[in-house]
Amino acid sequence: MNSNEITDLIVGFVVLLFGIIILAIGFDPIGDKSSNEGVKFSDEEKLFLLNYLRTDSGNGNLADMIALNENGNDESLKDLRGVSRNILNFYGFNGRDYALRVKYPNGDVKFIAGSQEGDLSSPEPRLETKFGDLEEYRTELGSGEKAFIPSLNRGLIIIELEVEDE
Amino acid sequence: MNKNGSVFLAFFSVVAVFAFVVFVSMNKEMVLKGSSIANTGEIPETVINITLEEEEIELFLKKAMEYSSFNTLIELGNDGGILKNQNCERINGYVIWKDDCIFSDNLEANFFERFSILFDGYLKEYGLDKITAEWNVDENNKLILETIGIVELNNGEDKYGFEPDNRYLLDYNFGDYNEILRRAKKCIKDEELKESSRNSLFEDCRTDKDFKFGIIVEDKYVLFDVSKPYSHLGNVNVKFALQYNQ
Repeated sequence: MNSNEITDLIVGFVVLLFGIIILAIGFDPIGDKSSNEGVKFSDEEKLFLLNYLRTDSGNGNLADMIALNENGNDESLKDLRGVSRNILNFYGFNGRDYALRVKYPNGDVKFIAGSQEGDLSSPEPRLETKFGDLEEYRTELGSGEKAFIPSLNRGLIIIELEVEDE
Repeated sequence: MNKNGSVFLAFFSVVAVFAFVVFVSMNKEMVLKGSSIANTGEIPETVINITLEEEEIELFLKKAMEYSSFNTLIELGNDGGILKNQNCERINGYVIWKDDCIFSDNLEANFFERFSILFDGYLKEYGLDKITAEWNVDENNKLILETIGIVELNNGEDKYGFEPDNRYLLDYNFGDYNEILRRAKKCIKDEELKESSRNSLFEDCRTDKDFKFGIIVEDKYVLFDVSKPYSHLGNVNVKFALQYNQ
């Protein structure tokens, strides 16, 4: 075998290897990656939120507890937080951080429950929110999934569930 | 083969492989489009989004009916059941029930007129302008509220319309107004019959088992604030004043 033939052989192997690599990584210059485009199951949060609002608390459902809390006191808020915490903790969101907040028509935002609410005063929540500090985290709505219910005082109540990205 | 020939062969091979991949890719696109496989994910996503949106609207309408009903019953009771625009004499805010100034004959229609204003307000805020409500009375003489109209949802280019299935049975007996009037009149009559031993205790009313009577004697009137629980939302009060011959 002379040197030219060896060179041809090497070139042939390189070309073959290149072709195999291209096929293996699925190089597809014009292919539309749309076979799974648009399939997002972030709707999990919306579904959870709707089920949460419908959950019977023994004295009406959670939506009623939230609506009645608008004219309520510390005790009613405590009850709402307790029930909500149990439901959210049970669901767990696969270990991701979460926060549930309610905004009333008068602009008042109540922090209802969160994955780190027990020690909110110390560690930063892992949620990637727009908030710079914990006070805002507790008193402003974020960019989570939202649902609306009527307010007993007229207007709409916004319930927001913010969950850490997977 | 000389060196130039090898380089040409290598270059040609790369171009050939690239052209082959482009050809396969184009062919794949045509197959995907022809079989609609490319859109496979869009349909379930649209279905999921629309279903969730429909569920949210149904929940909102249900709550809007409940809360509008509750607030309407409170408003109606605070006005002593008179018509919305009726001008009647009041004492300390309590309508004095006398002559034409008494709760309306058709309390259901009176209720619904007030209800519509509150309910439509909620719908307008939520953006459900095409939905309205209507009322009926069932065989047990209970008022039934139902939504009519179609909600149209848009998901990109897809449009979907559905008719909300909301039917709300008002757990309130408008006959209570007559019953409250009868009992209040009896209590006043009993008190008036006591004459000199009169002590304004209105015992029968204060110990009533069906209603909680709040009673204040004001000059020559008795102000009644009669409450009864409504579902789990709170109490509904009927407020009125009756003449009292002291």
